Amino acid sequence: MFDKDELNGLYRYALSLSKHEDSAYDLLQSALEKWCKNSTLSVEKPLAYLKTIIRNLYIDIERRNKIIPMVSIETSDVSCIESIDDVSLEDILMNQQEVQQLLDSLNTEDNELLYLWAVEEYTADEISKIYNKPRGTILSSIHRLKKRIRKHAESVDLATEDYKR
Amino acid sequence: MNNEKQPVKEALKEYYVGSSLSDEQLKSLQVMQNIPPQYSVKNNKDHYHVFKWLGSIAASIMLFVVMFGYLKTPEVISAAYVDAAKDARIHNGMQTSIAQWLSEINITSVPDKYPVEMSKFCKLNNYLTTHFRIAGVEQGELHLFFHHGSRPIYWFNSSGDIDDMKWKLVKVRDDLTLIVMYTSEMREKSVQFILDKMLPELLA
Repeated sequence: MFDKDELNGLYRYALSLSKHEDSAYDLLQSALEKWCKNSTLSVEKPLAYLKTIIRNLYIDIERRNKIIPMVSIETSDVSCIESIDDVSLEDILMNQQEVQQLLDSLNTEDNELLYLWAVEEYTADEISKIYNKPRGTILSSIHRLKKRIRKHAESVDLATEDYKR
Repeated sequence: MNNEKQPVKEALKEYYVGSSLSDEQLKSLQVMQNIPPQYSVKNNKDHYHVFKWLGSIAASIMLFVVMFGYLKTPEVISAAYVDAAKDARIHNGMQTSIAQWLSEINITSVPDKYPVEMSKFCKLNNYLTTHFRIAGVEQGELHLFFHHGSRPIYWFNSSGDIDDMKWKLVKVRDDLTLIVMYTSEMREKSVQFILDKMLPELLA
């Protein structure tokens, strides 16, 4: 049985995919329902397993609605492996409003990746196991994500400066 | 909403920590986890699928058995073949008791131009039958085995070959079954003629 903190963690993960609180709750509820029906299964990492269920459910729903931008994580523009340290985020500051804008601007996969990497603090190795992709591909994706965040932050700063003038 | 600027990771963490399940939602999810799995709809579906598959397998096996029984030479035919070979040396002609039996069962006598070489009561696989060996006009021989009474459900109208002989199993009436067996020298037309004369209902 999952406790309050675990349920909230799963809810936030669902939120990183769906971006809507109601949809996130629905996803979590459906995933938990599936989990309970298969409770006879012996799963080594129940939380990771439940996240996979949530992810699969989300993809199913969005495929049905045909609105998911299913960009392969292995497309040519991300397959080159660059050093993550090239793009650091430590100097970038954001308030909650800007975080909301950032999340709105990212697609589902980037949102999910950002959540796993920044909030859950999963390593590239751990994420590669979740996605079942090579570690190098995940590193490239994180690198691309960081670039996007930086670009987004710069555009926000420019807009703020323009507004101040 | 906190408007203070923070490093991206911290800002993201704060954003997500601010998004939590309501007490009501939490309670509902916790209740859901306490529902025993055996009452779930999926389990019923699983059982349904299991039963469906078992049913399909059982039906396939039954179909195979029926088809196998249908295609394989029936045991009663093999028994008739053995009996015909065993009685090859008997030449007792048409026995009075047998002629009487034919009349009682409403079977017309064998046409005169086909001599009855042998007639006798015998048992084929414990089913009482009346066996006739009839000679062809010039060559060949025909064996008729009549079984009067109920027959097993696995006796179908069927035909085939056994060694050098052709055979047919014909359900003539509800209580009368006929096994026809004849050598390759016997003309098919002659066989049909004899049968039509003896059992006119076969013409219908």
